[in-house]
Amino acid sequence: MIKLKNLSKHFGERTILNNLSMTIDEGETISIIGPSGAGKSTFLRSINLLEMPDKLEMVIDGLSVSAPGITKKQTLEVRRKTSMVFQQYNLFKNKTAIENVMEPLITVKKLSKADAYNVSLKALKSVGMQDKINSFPKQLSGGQQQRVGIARAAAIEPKIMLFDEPTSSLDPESINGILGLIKEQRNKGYTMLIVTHEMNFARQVSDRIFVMENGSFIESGSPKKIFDGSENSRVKEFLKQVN
Amino acid sequence: MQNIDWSFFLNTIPIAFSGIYVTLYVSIVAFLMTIAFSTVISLIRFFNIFILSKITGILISFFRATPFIAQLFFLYFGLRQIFPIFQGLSPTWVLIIALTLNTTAFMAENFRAAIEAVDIGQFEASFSMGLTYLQTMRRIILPQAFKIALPSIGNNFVMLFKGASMGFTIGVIDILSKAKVEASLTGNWFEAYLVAMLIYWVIILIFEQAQKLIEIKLSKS
Repeated sequence: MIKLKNLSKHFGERTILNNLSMTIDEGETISIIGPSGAGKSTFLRSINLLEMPDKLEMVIDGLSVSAPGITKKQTLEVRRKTSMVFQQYNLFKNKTAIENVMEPLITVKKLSKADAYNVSLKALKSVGMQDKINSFPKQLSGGQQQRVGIARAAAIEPKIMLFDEPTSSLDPESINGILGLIKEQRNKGYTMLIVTHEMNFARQVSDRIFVMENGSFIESGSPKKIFDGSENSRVKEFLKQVN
Repeated sequence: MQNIDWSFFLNTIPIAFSGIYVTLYVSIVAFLMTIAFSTVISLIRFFNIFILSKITGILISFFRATPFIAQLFFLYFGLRQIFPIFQGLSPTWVLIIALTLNTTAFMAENFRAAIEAVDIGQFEASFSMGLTYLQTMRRIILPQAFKIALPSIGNNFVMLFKGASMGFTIGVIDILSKAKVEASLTGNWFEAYLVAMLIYWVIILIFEQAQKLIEIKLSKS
């Protein structure tokens, strides 16, 4: 279980995240939707401390941290319980597909090379990339790179997988494949937090949805509640605009 | 006008060429030291480690802005006057140190620019997995930066290799000084220096081929 309390972030005078709290149960899939600039990505990146929050109390897998005052060691520990799938894939350009998946297994999980290879091969098979394990990122299409990105994030069996607009850079014909793959991860029992602009996908995959605007959650609940039963006029306005 | 003495020309080739061991030894040792120092200094400057960053910045500025020959004479003739301990250093090692300092001043800045050219997403992906700063730099960033810096590494090696010929001014017996001795014994300046230059040229041509092969190999990723 992951518990976030009082997450706040400012850039200068501007409030990016305004006192956010969220509890995520094991195996749960939560989507965050909302207009551009609402702070969705910053929220996601605050969980693995790529953005250092001004204020945060977080418990993740028994580890408590609170900002300000998160140490380097705590930062590493938090990151080692999480993994992230990026909008721009961010595969290591100097490593092949399988080396990308192996990297955290070797350096962080301390697996032997042979074990890391076997785990990575299995992970790449499960995303349909078994024929490309020795390709470098630049030899792969965007969709293929994101498949490797998902395999890399899943292989370390994180306490939570963070998806930062995983389909926003993809060409239309790759999007459905990637969304299908994320659904598969959900069915495998991964805990997931997804920032997305794909409303139908969010509706299908999520246990709960949070709607964000100007750094605050303005509504949260089941997909049915958000999409069909929201009383919040700003939520309704946002959904009308994206549909 | 004097005729070109081709037999002298041919005879000088093996004599000058025998200086190649010294030239290569000096160049390769200085080059390896330059790469090591440049890597460390570029990281200091990239992460802006306050006082060290300032100090290395001043040193870089100084060694870029002053003539190499002045640096060499300062290290060889100057330092031993004030600090007798430097009298124990051979001319060869003074040359190696001078070349290292001078080339590092250029290469450290090339390396820093190369590190800055690596996509920020590469750092983020690595950090997001819990790799430490050191692991991130060593396994992800520096290999990519090295590839970006490869053309400038090649240029710097060529400069260093040619700069090694300055050693003859402090008594290092290399290709150029062997040729110079032959020339002053016979008065055949044209042939002797032509031989020396051709040897430098051929070695650099070989080096450039090697560099191309490395670039082709790295272009896969």
